[in-house]
Amino acid sequence: MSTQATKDQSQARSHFDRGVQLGFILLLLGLWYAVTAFGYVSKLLLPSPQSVVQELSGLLTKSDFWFDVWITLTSIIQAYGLAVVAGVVLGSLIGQSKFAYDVFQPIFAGAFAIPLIIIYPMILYLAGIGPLSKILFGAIYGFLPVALAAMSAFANVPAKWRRYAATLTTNQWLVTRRVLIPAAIPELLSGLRISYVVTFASVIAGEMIAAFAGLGRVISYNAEVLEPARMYAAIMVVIAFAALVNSLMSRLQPRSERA
Amino acid sequence: MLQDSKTRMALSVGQLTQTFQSRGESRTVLSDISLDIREGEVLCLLGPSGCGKSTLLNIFGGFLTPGTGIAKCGDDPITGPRPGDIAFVFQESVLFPWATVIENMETALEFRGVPKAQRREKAMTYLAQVGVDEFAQHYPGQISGGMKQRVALAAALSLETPILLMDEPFAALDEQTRMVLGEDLSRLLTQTKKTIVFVTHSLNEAVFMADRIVVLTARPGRIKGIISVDEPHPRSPDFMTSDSFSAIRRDVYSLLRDEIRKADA
Ligand SMILES: Nc1ncnc2c1ncn2[C@@H]1O[C@H](COP(=O)(O)OP(=O)(O)O)[C@@H](O)[C@H]1O
Ligand SMILES: [Mg+2]
Repeated sequence: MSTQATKDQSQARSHFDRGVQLGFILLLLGLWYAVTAFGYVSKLLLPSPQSVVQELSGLLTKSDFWFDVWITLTSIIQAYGLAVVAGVVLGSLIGQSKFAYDVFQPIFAGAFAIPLIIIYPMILYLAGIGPLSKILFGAIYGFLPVALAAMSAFANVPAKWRRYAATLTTNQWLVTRRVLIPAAIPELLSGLRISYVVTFASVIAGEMIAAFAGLGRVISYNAEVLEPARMYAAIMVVIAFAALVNSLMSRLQPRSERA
Repeated sequence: MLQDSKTRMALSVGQLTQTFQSRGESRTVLSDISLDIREGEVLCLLGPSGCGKSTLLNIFGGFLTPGTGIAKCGDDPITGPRPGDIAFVFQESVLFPWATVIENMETALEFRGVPKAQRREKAMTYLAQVGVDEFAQHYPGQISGGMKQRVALAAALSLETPILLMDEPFAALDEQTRMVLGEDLSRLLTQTKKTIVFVTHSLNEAVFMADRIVVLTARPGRIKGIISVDEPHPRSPDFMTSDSFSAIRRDVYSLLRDEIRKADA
């Protein structure tokens, strides 16, 4: 079979996949509409799509809401930035030494296995109810998968490349830049993706538990005051944001995987 | 002046014995090896598998420090890899999969401190010499094993070191590809006047390429015998069908045969 034919086929295949995915979403929306229109479920549990859309357009015109979006966005960015910088620096240092790796890898892996939300009350005591507590919590939680990925990525650079590089140069910085970092990138990228998901979830959860502002707060507040349509509208905004970032991230792939 | 009239040694080992500890057991791999490799010589290490050929090459390469005895490059004891003096072609492919063939070549040259402006041209020259310049823009994952080893050879040659070490560089290739590469190599090496030490399992490759063939015994490896091949380089394919080729090949095989049986036992 010619490669052109294979290409055409796989393209047709992916159009087909997209079609099925879209159909599935439309089906869910249809079901949503049907069960609410015919009154099968209480409006409190599941408001109609129309009312959610109405609330959404209302929210989007309010500056208060945009302030909440802004708080959440900046918290996530700051938390993620801290997590990535600390995780990459510490993880890559630990990964350079077998001793450090053997000591710290189990500690970090063990810490990541704990549902860290249990330390959130302590962070609230420390950093207060403002955005800082969410930033810290998100940064701590998101730091672990980056550090774990970085240390394993650097520790697992095949010995053959280190040996080859040693026959070429004694300049360790050059070896790090040209060999160790490119070799570590695929594993590092998957750590960065996990970290982003964890940071995002942590910031939203932190806002839902205790905050004055932020999308998480909008959701939990509207649940409390029995405004489900408005709550769902805020949920839609979070979902849209997550989908946008996810599609951007899936484009981040190392060159060697594309080749 | 006096210095020039003497034959200078590129590499040498004296009374080298290498013992490894594994699982509380000590295993002597090389025993009392003394060998002088002259400048410009092509020397082949031949012996049953596990007899310590790679170990000896790794000692020359500076990846291992000798247990007892001494290893020298020129007059200096070898204490680690010597990027300016020794290039190494590994058995397995060490090309970086994230870089194209030409980028792999350029990285090696960058490591050697070649200025950026000269890297591309130099890389292309050596790729052309081993006949893979048309694959310059390919990734290693897109070319065959034989092509990858050619690129590795081009990279090693481009470093322009006086010494080249090769550990079964063509072992993974089929016999035909290997002979073609061997011919190319014989031609290339005559032009460059390098000192070369290589390990192979192929008798034909050994006789065709080497000036001297060192046959090692089964483990622990000792020098069983050294056979000279007095055929000038570059050697033509006709050499391979000549009577002298067959005679040398027979001598080497008779040294090797008993050792291979011992290693199997
Ligand atoms: N770093 C090492 N530690 C322990 N044993 C080793 C090490 N390197 C090689 N050996 C052992 O030394 C022996 C000779 O190995 P090697 O030099 O690779 O043989 P050859 O290349 O001749 O096949 C083998 O039995 C191997 O298991
Ligand atoms: Mg070997």
